Amino acid sequence: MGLVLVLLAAPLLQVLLVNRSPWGGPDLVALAVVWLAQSRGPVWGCVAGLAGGLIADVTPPADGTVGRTALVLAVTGLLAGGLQGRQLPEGRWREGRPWLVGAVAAALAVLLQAGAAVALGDEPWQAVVAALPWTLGWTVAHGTPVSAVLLRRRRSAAVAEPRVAMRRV
Amino acid sequence: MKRTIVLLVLLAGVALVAVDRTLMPLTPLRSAGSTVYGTVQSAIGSVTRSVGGEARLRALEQENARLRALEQENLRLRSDLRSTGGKSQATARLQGVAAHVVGFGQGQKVTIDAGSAAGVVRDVTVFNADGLVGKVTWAGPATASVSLITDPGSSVGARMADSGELGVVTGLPGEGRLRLSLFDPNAPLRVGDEVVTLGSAGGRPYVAGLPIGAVERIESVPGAATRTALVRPAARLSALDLVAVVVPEPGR
Repeated sequence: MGLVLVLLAAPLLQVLLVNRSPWGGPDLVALAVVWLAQSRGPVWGCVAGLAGGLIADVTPPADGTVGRTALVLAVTGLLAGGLQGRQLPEGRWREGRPWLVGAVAAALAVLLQAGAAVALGDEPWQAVVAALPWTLGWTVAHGTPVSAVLLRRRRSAAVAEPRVAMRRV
Repeated sequence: MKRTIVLLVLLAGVALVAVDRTLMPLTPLRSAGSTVYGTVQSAIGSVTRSVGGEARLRALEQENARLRALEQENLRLRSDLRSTGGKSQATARLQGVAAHVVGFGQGQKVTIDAGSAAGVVRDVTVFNADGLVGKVTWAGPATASVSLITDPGSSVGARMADSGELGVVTGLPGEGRLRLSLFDPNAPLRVGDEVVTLGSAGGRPYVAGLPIGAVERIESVPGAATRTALVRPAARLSALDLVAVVVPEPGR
């Protein structure tokens, strides 16, 4: 629930605070989607990506193609959730390292967004390339530790209440 | 089941992009975004402004006075133009709407807290007390998006204030500087020379005679077809607050 609120507030915080900084800043919407995908799975990640991306697309002063960020973040959320935990054919559960998945998914989100912005002709490539290293660095730097902490908290909660977890399965 | 949801979501994403690009712009979605998130931006902006208090009020009053002075000068220039047989733009009736910058986008875009309800339309000039800021790229109900002159996609017709040479000012990515290209490769150019807007027909997107900036460094490229220089914007574009939007008078 908390993460959903973060997702809804992220576009606003981005335009009010983060983008004011002259040294660039993290992409909060992408981070919120990655965190949701990691803690709730690929389907949640995909839906959250579409919703969060769509909000980011229509929050002024964005004036690019509507649905650009939505599509890119839906794909990112799907991949992030899939990398975090997936069922192997023989029925075992395979889990990725939270910090690694967080870092890879955050980087993927930023790169895909930059690529989509150039491919759809919304922004000139010089501007995208100039801003890319900063956004990439900030996003990965913020995504990695938070992913690790979030997943550890969720895991310890699951260990503390094994019965509830069993019943849900 | 899960697979269906994922497929539907991805299809929805593709459909959004396709419809917005090819069939029709999804203006209702954009307006909704401007109404909800834009209004919140404006509200937070006015709260933080009111917290600022007395010092802010004084700063704004000074700014207001400078804007008035600028308006006077603009009027004078316009009458000069008219008396020298100026073009039709000189007689276009224009009026200003005051607005505050409330949100900052990625790249060189900002949100202002005046929209179509205040008469703001797309492709009109935005300036502040120091000079040209940019132009409105999209006007929603409560807010409008402004693309700054430092945006790499922006290009403004320019005139040297002293020599009258014509040229174009474009944005440079990531530097907060502008590039001036004068059409005459042998035009006289000195560091510190003032660059003003040339203006377009009807004052859209840019009205004439607004300061753009001052020449900071002259680039000498032997044999180039144009004469280029770096220009420092007159307006402090990284610390924008009060701006004015030139809007066409209603009923025109």
